[in-house]
Amino acid sequence: VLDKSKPVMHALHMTNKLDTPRKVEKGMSRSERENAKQFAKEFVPVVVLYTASISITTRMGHGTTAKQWLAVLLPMIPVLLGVWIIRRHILRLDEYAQIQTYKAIAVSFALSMVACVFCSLIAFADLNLSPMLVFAPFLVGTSIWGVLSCVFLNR
Amino acid sequence: MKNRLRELRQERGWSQGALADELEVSRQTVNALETERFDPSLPLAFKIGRLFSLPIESIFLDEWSQ
Repeated sequence: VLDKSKPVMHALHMTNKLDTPRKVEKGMSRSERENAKQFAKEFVPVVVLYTASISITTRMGHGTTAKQWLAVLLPMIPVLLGVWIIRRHILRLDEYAQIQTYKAIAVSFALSMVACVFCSLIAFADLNLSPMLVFAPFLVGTSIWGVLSCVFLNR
Repeated sequence: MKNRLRELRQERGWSQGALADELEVSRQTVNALETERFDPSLPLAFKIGRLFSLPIESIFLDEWSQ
């Protein structure tokens, strides 16, 4: 809390410790801490739900077409919930953090699309690499988004 | 846009973190404002003005009028 009772300090009392050119002060502000706490409170249950849905569908087996579709659609519920929670989190950020996050999302989206095209070309060429390759665009997108968000916010 | 945010904050002996708490923004946002890498929205500029009890135009300097 700021001491507003003494609005202006004399120049002699100023300290260069307050002169924070860049990245000298560390740690989160109160609003950041509240946002992070709220995000964790909302996102952790979604991760638990996702894990539970995957484990349920795996134990059920994929015997019939209905079960196969269930294995596809059931985990999509927490995935969509997760997207909604991330959207809420971004909207809670302050305006500068929002702009930097959108920039990071834009770059990661473009690179995800590149990864999609790359994976499609691999499939067209019948290279038959790992079936997990379909997750490559997702991994590219999320990791670049995460890294760039940190870089843009802290530069 | 040029501004006097760092100067005003230092005059009052406030840290960037404390100012960020008062403005309900992140410390990075305060830093970006002070280093003139980011121009605030009107609501945030008014909030800054209210906090320092100064009109916006005495904190944010209009280069066209200079």
